[in-house]
Amino acid sequence: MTRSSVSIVDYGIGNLKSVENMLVRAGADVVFARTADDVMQADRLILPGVGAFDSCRRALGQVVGLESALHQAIGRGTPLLGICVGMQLLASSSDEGVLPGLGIIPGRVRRLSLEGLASGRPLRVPHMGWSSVEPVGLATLFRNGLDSVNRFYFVHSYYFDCENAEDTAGVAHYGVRFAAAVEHGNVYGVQFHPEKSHRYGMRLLRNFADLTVEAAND
Amino acid sequence: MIDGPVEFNPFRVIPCLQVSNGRLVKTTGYRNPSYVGDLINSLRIFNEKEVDEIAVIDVSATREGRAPDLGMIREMAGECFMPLAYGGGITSLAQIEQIVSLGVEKVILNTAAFASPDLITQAAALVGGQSVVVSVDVKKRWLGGYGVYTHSGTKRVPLALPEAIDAVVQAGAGELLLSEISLDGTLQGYNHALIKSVSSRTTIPVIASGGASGIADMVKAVRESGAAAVAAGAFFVYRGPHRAVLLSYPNARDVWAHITETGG
Repeated sequence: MTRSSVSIVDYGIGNLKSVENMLVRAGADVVFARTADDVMQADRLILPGVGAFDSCRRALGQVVGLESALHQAIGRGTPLLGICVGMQLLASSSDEGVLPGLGIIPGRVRRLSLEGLASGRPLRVPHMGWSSVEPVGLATLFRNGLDSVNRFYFVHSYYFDCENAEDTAGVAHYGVRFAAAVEHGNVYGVQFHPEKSHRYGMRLLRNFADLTVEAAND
Repeated sequence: MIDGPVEFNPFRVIPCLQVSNGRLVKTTGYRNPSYVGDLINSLRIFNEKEVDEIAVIDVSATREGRAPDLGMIREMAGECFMPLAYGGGITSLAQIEQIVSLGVEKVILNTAAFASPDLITQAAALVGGQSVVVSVDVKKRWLGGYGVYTHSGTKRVPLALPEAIDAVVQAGAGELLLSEISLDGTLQGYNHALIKSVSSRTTIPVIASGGASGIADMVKAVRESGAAAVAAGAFFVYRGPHRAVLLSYPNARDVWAHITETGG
């Protein structure tokens, strides 16, 4: 069996090296998709993202043809995983910015509220630290053990509020119960950083690298 | 009874390692570095222990006027499958961009942060505020209050502690690594009054550092003094009264047990 190839979308945003390091550790071959053509030829796509929603959205828009290539690749079944702001970009819109999202998974990105309480103490935003994620629904990426024990590293001030409950693949709590993972056909998103989440993150990326176009279409 | 998910710590517990000329060392009061071991091997061990996060500070870089050692940082990042923070000798935005591109999540600024708070602002705009940690190193003053220091604790900033905190927070720091220099390496316990006063002044996360004496001290720093996370050096690299080198990391179950005991 050949090693799975995963393409990280490089649109000038994010710490791609950490994602690459963890994918290699998970046994995948890593390439970088820097053009629309690269995206069209990818077996699997990872869409990273850090920082502000609009700056990610703008950077993505600056690569010629990238947005339509992403839509086309998804349309023909290529598995795609958005990480952190890369996940938020899949939404329709965000409280954080004025630019529209890619509108791939219906929903709005909302700000975590400081009003929530954890053990009687005020919460600080961003939510920075480890949380466990309770898989719900299909939770394809949480197979092979992650459905019983897991912990993932989060750094975020916003969360994905899915319009359709069935698109939520995992929930975590931080003041609110929020979608820590989404899944819609062959499109996946995680709010946390699997590349920085020890063996749990490695397993999740391995699960993603094991997906194929055929499996996504079944 | 333990009422939390005992598989991991209820707050971030961060080994804060010091490196000098590529070797892992431990200082006392930011002086007298003693050799602890090989840096990369030590990172591998902490990675196997699945630590929540790790911080590495090159304590000789600023003192020797050296830029960050990018080769060493690249190698470090390749061993850390948890968030990694790096500090030491960072003076420019270009360096911050390079360091982050090597796979480091956070940069720790100290000397440059107080010399030019603009760098904090620019760094936050470039890599996100959550990736910019300012190390606040303090010493008690004879007449009360604290002095804030840079250059590995050797030069005092002309600002009182509250004003220094406000300056870096307003500039856009995402997190503060707060240390009382005289407690470094002593295992005598954190300065809880200090942690309380700083964490009540700001809403950004404060990482307690300097003198951690044990798990109970760490739990107290978060539950009573308001820290968001805890860091320690000597506690994770030494064992016993003779300070034998033994890298360790607490079991999450033990941390939760202390919380339950103190009714937290």
